[in-house]
Amino acid sequence: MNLKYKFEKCFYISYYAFKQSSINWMNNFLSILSSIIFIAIVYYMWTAVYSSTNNFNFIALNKTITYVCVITIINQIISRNTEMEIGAKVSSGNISIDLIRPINFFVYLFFNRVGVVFLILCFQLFH
Amino acid sequence: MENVIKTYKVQQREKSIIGVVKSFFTKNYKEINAVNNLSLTINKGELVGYIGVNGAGKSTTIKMLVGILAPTKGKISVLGKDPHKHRREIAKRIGVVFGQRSQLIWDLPPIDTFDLFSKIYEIPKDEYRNRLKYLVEHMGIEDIVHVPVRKLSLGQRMCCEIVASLLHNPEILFLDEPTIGLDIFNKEKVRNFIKKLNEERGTTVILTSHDLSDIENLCRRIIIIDKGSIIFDGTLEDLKTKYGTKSTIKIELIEKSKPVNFDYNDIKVEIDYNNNFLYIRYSKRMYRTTDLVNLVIQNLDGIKDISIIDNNLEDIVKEIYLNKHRRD
Repeated sequence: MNLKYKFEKCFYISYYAFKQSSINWMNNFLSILSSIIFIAIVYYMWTAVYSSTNNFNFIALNKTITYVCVITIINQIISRNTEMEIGAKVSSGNISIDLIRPINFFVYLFFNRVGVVFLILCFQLFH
Repeated sequence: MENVIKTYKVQQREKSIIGVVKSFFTKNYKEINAVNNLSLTINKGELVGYIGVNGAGKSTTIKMLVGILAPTKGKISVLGKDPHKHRREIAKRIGVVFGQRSQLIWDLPPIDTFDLFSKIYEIPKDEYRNRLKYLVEHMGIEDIVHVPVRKLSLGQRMCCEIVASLLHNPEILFLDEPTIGLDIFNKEKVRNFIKKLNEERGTTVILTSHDLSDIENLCRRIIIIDKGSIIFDGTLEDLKTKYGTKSTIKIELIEKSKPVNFDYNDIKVEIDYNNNFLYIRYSKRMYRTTDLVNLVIQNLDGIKDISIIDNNLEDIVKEIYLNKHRRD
């Protein structure tokens, strides 16, 4: 029973974080757009590099491009600056709102993040 | 709370660039006692008004009571436990509303926040449904629970905040300026609701507000603090009999008044020549109102209207503060 409640709690925190950030779809859309532009730039750069020299023959061009794509997606997922978020909460004092809940602050932040990451993944796959 | 002291360390910064660079290496702190040797006991079922000027230490006290801040010295016990050490256990049994901070999810309708809270506070489904229905009906927010929070007005949001903090049926409710931005009808609604909650469920309510009419209407017990220490703790009646002795007779005259002289001590006569008003300020301890009114009627001609204005809570609190500062 207790475990069920805990699971539900975590799930719903993620779910509402997901729902909350899905409202700002423009934000997400723009971040996807910027990563697409980034990938395009890197793609053309590497093709130029590969066509001008033979020194990189031990790694194929398409492998390099795959690497860049994966890195961009991982970057999108990880670099949402949770530490900055906490910092902003502390300096504005809004952390007190999170601290009056009967839940561990870091557990709350983690599952909040899970929800957001899930949304980003959905977006990435969708595009 | 027993002899609680909370000291804030405030970093002293210098203005010059050299000072800024210097502050990276050495730091000067100045200690400020936000709460200074405060002791108070609040019994179950009490409705307490907590008054203080800006920076008197009200919010600090509340933050210590809910376990967000730890006291520098002293002991706090809420529901028999130290709120800072048992923060999560205590959090389940108390409700908090911070007037200046929103606990609702900004982009979603309030109903989503309520649902999330029901999970976080582990409220059983049926109980949650009944309670939500009850709260929403009593606060009259049926129309707005499905509107995203960012589209709500400050007053509507505050009603939702109060509902959110009551979902888990808390034993103690801390309200830090809950009537900010509420119109007269909503204010009335919130007040009645708090009163009802206190009477029906026996919820202990601790209320801070700058709107003293809130406190006058709601609270039986009043605590006034200044610079971190209590300067008054007692019932509203006590406060009024002890300090609220000043009264004013306001007389409207048909014509402009001539200078009036009363040969009494401690009576001030003010004349407002523009509006033909005459104010007689006196202390109830020394004079009976009826005597003075009689005297006025006998001595003055052309009286249009007489009204007696008692000092309200705001004046009383003002007086207490001024007296204290004069003594200091």
